[in-house]
Amino acid sequence: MPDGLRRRPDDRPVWWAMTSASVNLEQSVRRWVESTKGASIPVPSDLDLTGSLLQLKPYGFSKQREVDRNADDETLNILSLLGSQLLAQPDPSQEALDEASVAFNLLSALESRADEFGELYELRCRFSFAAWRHARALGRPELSRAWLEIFDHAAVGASTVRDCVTYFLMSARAEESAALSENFLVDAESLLTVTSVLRDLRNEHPAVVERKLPALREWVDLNFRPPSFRDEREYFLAELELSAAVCAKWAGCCQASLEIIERAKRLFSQTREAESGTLDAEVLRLSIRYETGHYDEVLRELPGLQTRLNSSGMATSLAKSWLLEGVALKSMGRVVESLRPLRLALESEPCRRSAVLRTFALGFLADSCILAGRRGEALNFLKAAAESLGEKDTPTARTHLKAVVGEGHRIDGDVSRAIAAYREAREEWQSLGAERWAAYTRLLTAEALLLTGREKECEAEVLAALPTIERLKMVAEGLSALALLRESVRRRRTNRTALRDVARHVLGNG
Amino acid sequence: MLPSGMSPAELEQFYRLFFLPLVRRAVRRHRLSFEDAGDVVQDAFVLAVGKLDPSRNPKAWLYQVVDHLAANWKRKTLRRARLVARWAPPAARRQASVVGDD
Repeated sequence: MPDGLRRRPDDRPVWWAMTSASVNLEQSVRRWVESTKGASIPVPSDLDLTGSLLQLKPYGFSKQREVDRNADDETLNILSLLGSQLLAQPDPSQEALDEASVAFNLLSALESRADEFGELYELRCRFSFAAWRHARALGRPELSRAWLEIFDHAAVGASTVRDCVTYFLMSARAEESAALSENFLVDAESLLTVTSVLRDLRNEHPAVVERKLPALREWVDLNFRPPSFRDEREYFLAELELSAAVCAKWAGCCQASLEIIERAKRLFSQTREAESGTLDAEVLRLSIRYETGHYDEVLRELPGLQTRLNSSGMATSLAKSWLLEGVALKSMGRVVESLRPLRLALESEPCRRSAVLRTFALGFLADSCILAGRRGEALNFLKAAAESLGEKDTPTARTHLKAVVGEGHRIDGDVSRAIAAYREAREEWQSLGAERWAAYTRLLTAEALLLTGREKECEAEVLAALPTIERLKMVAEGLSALALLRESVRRRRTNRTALRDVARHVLGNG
Repeated sequence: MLPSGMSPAELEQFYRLFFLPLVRRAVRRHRLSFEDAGDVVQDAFVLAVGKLDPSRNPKAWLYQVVDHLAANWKRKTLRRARLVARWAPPAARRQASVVGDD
């Protein structure tokens, strides 16, 4: 098993790291306070900065003699003041959109410097947020979507802000106060950061995020009352519903997930750009149809959806649709065909940027290559996936890769190692709350155990999977469970009671 | 060098790496003036002495404290402005609006 796939002993979401720099900061703060006691600390002059900003604005910040290409304090002070003014802009404004756009481009051209807080990325978040907001409000959906993708990318780099938001989302402490919520949920930019972080976290730690979402939705519903850009409330509520739907999907609650998606679509319909939200919801809906075995339906509906995603410039959702197409083809036995859309996804810009998406894509490609007998390529994809995990550990992607490795061992004939890998994967699926996948992996384990003549253990795995199969109405898996038990009984001629129970469950559920 | 304090070079480095970026954050996020933001950030550093835990994420902690103090500062300022607008004699109101609340 590649090193990157081994579970860390302390496998909790790591959102901070104690380094020697952390220790130095604590000491430095103490010494700074001692040294500046009673002193007047100089700060930039608001008057001077306002004057500089007014001089620069007509020229679009392009005059090099006014703005140094280094990200020095003077430049950052001016840009921070502009960021503050753009936040205060109460009405949709082409001027604000233009200023935000130019300021963002200026930032991108600045030479970076030692940045303790990810401030440059934070400024990019501010300007891309402002551009997104005004583009939406001015009825420019393609432009607003482009800015949203830019914001997502900037939010990844705004490390301290992202740490704060991730801590807030992952914290299970009962003493979370209203002040903490108020810090993150009170303004639109923070909510956009929260929904951006959630788009990754919901696929990394779905069970943890699912616990947090009801309180988040309630807070936004009751407390977020923007005086302007009012449809942002419905937009954020809809995005939170989409996250809830994804978490429900991971938990195997497909019907509940579909209902939540419908709620999300209704909320999106009340926003200025309903189409992109609706398209995202559609991708999710089809992924649930895939999980419930409706591969034909998924492959029939995807092309039309992909055309709309492409013409709308929704690159990330398009990449996800390619992944969905690939796994649907693979599940129908069209393994070689599945490689094309999976490669398209892997080579896309969203996959290049997002380690989470990339790891999933590599895992799916490895799986298809294993099934297609392309062992060498499968190994390369697995190695690349392990490296991608090293860049950003994603528990769900890591667990999927373990199951893929198990499949590889099984096809190679090393069934004992396959069983070990499946069991490890199943335990991790359970700890992540992905019960559908845990039950499915139990059946893979049962099948492998049957191959090695371990019928009793096979039956134990099947029986352990049954309660989940029944509760989540996993019909295809129920039939597989029946077939496995029947074969095991045929070989052992025992435990007919178990066989009758399964038959009752499966046939009773239709 | 100040006794048990920082050298001028260390002061300059800390000022540019930590103090100013936090001031700018308070300006961007909470629309404080640079002057008010400077006071808020210094208050955050004073609070941090003895409370900053290096085993957790100290930068994120500082961010949260600055945000919290800045939000409190704004609320306090707005409350004062409303009180002045309501109760102060006209001359005092005119002066308050020119020179600021404090």
